[in-house]
Amino acid sequence: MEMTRRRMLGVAATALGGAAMETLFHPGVLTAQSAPTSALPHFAPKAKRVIYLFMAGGPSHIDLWDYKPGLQRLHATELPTSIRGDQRITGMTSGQAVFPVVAPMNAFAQHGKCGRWVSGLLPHTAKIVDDIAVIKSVNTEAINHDPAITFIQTGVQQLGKPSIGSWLSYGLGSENKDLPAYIVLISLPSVNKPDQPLFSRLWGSGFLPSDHQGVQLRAGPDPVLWLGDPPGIDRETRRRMLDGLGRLNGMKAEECGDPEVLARIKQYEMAFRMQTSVPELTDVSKEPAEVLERYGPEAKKPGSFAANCLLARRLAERGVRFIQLFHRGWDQHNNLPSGIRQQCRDTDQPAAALVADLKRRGMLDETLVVWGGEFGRTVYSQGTLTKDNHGRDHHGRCFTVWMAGGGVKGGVEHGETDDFAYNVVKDGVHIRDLNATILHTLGIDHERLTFKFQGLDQRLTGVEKATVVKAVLG
Amino acid sequence: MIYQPATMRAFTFALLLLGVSAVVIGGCFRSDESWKVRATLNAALDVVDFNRDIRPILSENCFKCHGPDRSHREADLRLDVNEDWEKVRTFLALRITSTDPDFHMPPPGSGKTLTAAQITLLTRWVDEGASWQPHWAFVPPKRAPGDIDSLVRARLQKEGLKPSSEADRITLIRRVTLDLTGIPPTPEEVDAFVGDGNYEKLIDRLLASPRFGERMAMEWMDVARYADTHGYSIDSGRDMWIWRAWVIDAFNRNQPYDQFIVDQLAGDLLPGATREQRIATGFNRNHPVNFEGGSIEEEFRVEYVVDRVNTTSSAFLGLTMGCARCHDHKYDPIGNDEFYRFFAFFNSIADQGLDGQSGNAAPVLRVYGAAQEKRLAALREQLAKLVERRKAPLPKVDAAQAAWEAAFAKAMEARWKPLDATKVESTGGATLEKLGDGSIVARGSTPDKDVYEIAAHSDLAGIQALRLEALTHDSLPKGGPGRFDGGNFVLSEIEVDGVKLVSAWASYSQSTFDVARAIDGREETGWAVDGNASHVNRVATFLAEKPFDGGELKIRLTFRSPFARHAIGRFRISLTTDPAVRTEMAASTLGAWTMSGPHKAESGKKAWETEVETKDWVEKDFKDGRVHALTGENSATYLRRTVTSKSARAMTVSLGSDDAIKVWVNGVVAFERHVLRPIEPDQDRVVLSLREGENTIEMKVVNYGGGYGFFFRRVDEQPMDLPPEVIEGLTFGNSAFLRDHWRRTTWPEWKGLTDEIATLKREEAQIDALAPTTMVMAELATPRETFILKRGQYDQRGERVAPGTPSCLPPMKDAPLNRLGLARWLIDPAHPLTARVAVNRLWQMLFGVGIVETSEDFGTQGQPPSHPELLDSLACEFAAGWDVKAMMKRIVMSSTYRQSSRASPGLVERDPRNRLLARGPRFRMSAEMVRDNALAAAGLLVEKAGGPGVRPYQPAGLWEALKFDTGDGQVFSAQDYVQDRGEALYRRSVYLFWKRACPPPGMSTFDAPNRDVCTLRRPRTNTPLQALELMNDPVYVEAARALAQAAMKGTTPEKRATIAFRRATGRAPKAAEIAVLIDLYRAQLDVYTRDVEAAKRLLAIGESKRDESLDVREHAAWTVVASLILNLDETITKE
Repeated sequence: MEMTRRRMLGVAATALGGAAMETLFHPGVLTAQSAPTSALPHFAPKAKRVIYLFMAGGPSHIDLWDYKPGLQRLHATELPTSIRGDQRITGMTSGQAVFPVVAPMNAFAQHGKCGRWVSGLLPHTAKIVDDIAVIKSVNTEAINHDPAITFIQTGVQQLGKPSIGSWLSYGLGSENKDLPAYIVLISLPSVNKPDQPLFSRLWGSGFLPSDHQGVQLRAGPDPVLWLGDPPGIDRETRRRMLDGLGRLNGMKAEECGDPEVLARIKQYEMAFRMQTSVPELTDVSKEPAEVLERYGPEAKKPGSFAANCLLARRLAERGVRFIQLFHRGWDQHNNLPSGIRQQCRDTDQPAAALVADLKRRGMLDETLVVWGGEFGRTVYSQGTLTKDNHGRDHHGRCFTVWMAGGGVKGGVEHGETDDFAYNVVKDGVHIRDLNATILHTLGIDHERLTFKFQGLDQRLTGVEKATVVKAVLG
Repeated sequence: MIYQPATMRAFTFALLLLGVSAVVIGGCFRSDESWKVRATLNAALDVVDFNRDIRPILSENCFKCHGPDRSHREADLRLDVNEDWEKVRTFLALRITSTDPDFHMPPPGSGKTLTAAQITLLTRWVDEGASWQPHWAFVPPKRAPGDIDSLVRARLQKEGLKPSSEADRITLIRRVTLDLTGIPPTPEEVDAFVGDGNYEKLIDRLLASPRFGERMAMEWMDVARYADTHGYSIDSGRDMWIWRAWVIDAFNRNQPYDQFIVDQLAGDLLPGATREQRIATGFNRNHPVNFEGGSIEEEFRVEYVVDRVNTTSSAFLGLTMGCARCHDHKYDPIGNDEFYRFFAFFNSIADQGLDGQSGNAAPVLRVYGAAQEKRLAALREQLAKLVERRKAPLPKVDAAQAAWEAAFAKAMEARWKPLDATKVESTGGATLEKLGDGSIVARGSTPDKDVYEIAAHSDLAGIQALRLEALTHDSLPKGGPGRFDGGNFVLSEIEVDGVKLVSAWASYSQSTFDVARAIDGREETGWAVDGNASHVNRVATFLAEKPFDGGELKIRLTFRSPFARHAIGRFRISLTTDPAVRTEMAASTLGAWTMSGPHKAESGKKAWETEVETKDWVEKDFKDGRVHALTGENSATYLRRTVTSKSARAMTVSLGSDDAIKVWVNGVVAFERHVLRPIEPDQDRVVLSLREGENTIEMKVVNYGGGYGFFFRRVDEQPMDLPPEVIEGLTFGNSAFLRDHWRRTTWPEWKGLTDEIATLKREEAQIDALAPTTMVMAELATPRETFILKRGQYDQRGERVAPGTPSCLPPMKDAPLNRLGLARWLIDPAHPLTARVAVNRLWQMLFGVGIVETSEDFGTQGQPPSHPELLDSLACEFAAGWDVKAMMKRIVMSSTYRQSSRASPGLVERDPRNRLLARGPRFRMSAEMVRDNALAAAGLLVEKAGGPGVRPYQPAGLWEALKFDTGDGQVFSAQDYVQDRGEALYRRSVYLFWKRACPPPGMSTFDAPNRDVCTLRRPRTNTPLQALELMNDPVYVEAARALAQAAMKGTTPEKRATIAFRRATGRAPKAAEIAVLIDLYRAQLDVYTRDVEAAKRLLAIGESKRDESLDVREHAAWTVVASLILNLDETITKE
């Protein structure tokens, strides 16, 4: 007996009666906890999605964005203790006897209509300064990688909470039924081995249901775990097997009355579609040569930051809600001048190309692009300062993050630090404020995106006050 | 239809949300919806019940401002306790119904609103007298009349529902076998039960199975946040599997649950604690441990204590104490101070905030086998005797030593003439005072930088050298010898007017602060002595370029390094005219060591015999004259340094090694010794030929197993041919050190004793090396003080607190204020929470949802029990004997459990999540069970217990992307995934190697947590990634192949389909089902007949051997059919 899927479902519907069919198509009965309580979005969103270029390790704001002409004069002098104050510093430099100020070893110049000062290390990003908002006063309390990156990703330094992408998956879901709402791409620096580890907890769903966790798309033939059919199984075989499976599961649904069985049939069908849609997504061979060129020489190298930026655009086109790229190698405790140059070589052009590409396609207005790490770096040298070499330690008191698109005003600058790029002197933006702002662009009131766990209405921004940075929003 | 609004809203979001169209069942209910559910569940609302109907409304809407938190209490009104009841009675109804925004409660800005139904309830409650009850969970449980079934049925009756009939025998044996052992019944077991129907016999068999302990442990691993790695950013390996084996064994031998708690929380504190009891304490060492470079130790140590508090309170009390870390709990009566009183129980563990670089973090317990333990005891007894013999008084030898010391003292006295300072001045403003013994002590202000100017008169002629003693003194910080807070000093320069100092020697120099830096003419460098760590006397000598005559001498000690306030605190200067000094002082300079390795080889022997290409040289701070530990087994480590000699000459060095050692000078082998030995100083004396100028010394030290280290010092070119420590000992009197040195060099028996000790130690080390360790609890000798930490921050200390339990719970009686007392308090049968929390979790394991759905939260924000009397009755019964197996048996024997799980559409609509229990449980198995079930059905499962984690198939590169690589050759464990072979691939999932940064992907896909924190229940999702996993992960493809192979024993396609189906689901397929399977088989046989290569490729997946006698095409076709069967909803569902 040949039984089509439609017929099978029809049979199931008859057998189960209206209520069960409603359950099948209205899975909400079973998912009371899977959806937020307040109607989302809370207000009209500017952005539909986010591409977050996460620069893991802590890029030096001093050498890239936070231009302080006076530093050249102060170079190699001792950092005044009044500036350092009672700051917690890491075990790596707390024993240091001297704290010599280090001026950037690369020249800055003004760019764009807005006249933004940008380091010569970022020639491509310099060309899009009129499209981006630079926040120089982002700050965090954490001073080591694990707590800091956990903090900015989940809103608390301790383990166990959901990441920002999971919150958005939970709150807004995906616009594409064949792809997860939260996708993670990890790139490898082209030269140095990264000494900054990553961990799947950073895109974990914490106490949120685990289907909200970030799904890592990996470079290579199997971008999603076990996406490909095993050797010896072709597409026809898979289809045939799924048809049989659907029929047997349909019979089961009829017999036991559990709507969960019908839900499972749907998941298998979606898996089947993903087996086609994901390889199509990751295959950039049909991208025009000039597009590849704009993303730079590494655009065709799978797993490079450039390739991932291009992939991020393709994911954005397909409606993925939160796309997060992790790029390691910014932890320059030593050899900063050469290290940061290499990092910029890897990331500058692709990041700028991504923003420009989105703009060209008319997608920038509805796509928020965020660039930043978990903290900045100290103005003083870690280890010995020589004529052409030095390092910088972790610095949470201020660092720079830029945002573009998704309702963010281009060409603006927000927040100010002191002459040493050491302390915020005006318009501090705590990472909680930053996260609240990201949610805001998506039409979410960060105080109302909550999940009940351990007796509390948990939220991304935690219990302390967080303020949306309206100044950078259009 | 009371669900309608919630349903519709949830549906809207579900559509938005379901990027992968996941459907979630189980997990926690949203509390705002739960009220409605409760209202439905309690359809017959005859009398308003405070705990059931009112408290949840108050908790959700009012407690935040009128609850336990003292710092945010408005209008001095409390609604969580029976304090202000008069006010409530009078005003509540008025306030909640008022239309005046200034008067209305909850206030408009609070974000809280009461629904009309809630207002009606509250008003009714006030009308009925507003009777108050304490929160149900804080009142000890009372046994209700009736058993499980009658209590469940009473509730069903109220709801107008009827229980379902009993499930058929096949369903029942599969359900209970999965529930009690985590693996499915074999077809033979199914047949036997269908035949005799003896359910109780079946239960008893399952409870006696060793698989029971593994099944129970699966849940406990989540609770205990068990993992095989440390977590945090580097996430290197640890060994806690001995603890896991203990848990499995505890369940299998049915250890009473009260003892299970005591052993895990405080086994180490039990009088005469056994090894097992100490192993059990690993429970609260399973938390993540950090050692990220530059982290602040105390910050993380505090995190571990907080984790223990959170885990202990969630696991045993069902309370979320974590909220009270920063402030009073908003909803539950747990004060900020009470959090830290609880914290104090766990604050005196002898662990470190940063640890775990090389495996387990202290404190650890080494776990030996019985034979090893016996041998060790004998070894240690023997060793103690030998060591005692070596240091026991020996009149003759001791007399000789005394004479030697006296002679030395006399020689020193003759050699060194104390300088009699006529004037001593500190340019920085310190006060320098002469003491009677010729030493000078600094007092008064401690300037950042200082110079001591000493004027003296000497009648000596032909002065060769100057001696500087840096001395301790009671008046100095920590005893000195420096003036810095920690006791250290940095001597930038020592100068004598008109004299050039050319060579320096010191009894001790701090690394990078060699004494030579005190005569290098640079103020920023200098001599330091680790004075912050050890407060002892040090001595240095400085040689003049050529002899000079006394007269008026001017000596300057400069302290102008970047290290402020680092002047010497007390010192004495002497002079000598003895020309011997000149030859004794070093004539060559030894550079710093660099190291390459460890280079691992197949064996120690291989490491000795082969030279590897050495690279990645790292500079090391190895000091001469000390034993330095190396790491690695079956490894070679290369050490290299340069020696600059003023002339071509022989230099004698003294070496030690564990094990073999080889030395090259300028690329030529100068010495080799292939030996297995523990390290001692001065094991080999070797003469090295140096040429003039720069020489390279390279050593290779090889280790077989156990300890690993080396020792190096030069023997000649030292004052009096004595090691610096000996000179220091002789100068200042360090008797134990001198005794060992004297006996080693003069007492003939020493070598024999030492060799014997070495042999025994080596055996001890070998036993140690073979025995694994496990992390355990151990108390510090002196407990740490505990302070309230303001806003939870480790460095913001407030008031000091003593250990104690929350006041909302019964007090601790006659128990010590330590972890043991805490554990005993928990297991008091009158404790309102412990037994309830425990039976609720057992219920959750069987029914998918607990009687209290929020199994981690029994507080006021948690869900109230669906069947309060049932929960209490089970809790009382459990607390009477804490018999886990008996409780499991009681539940699975009930008719409630044995009901069929089939649901009519009406019942699904009425009670979608089966909270009323009008039918049996049906839900998708846990991640572990999904995998174990497939392996068992396929006949691949290896039922071997215990041991370290196993690593099955995993896509390449998963760990690679997360790897930590310092780039300087430092290697941490658990960074590279090396797949196991053989039976390890088919072990039960409870034994999978659990890396926190990347848990086994198949487990995560099926909702396993990453185990960073205590987890009491998993959500149950249904996603396409699960479908991909089951269709394509080699473990399931291989299982399908093996299942197909088993099926092919059948003689007809029908029989084959039936065998495979039965093994996976327990039951025989119906005719219609067989038809579908055979259709697929025929179609695939066609495919594989046309393409035999494809069949071969499919059958090549997985490492288990295939029965080669089977036809390839048929086997492949049946494999596709078996894969379908393994993907069935029924196969991965317990029903």
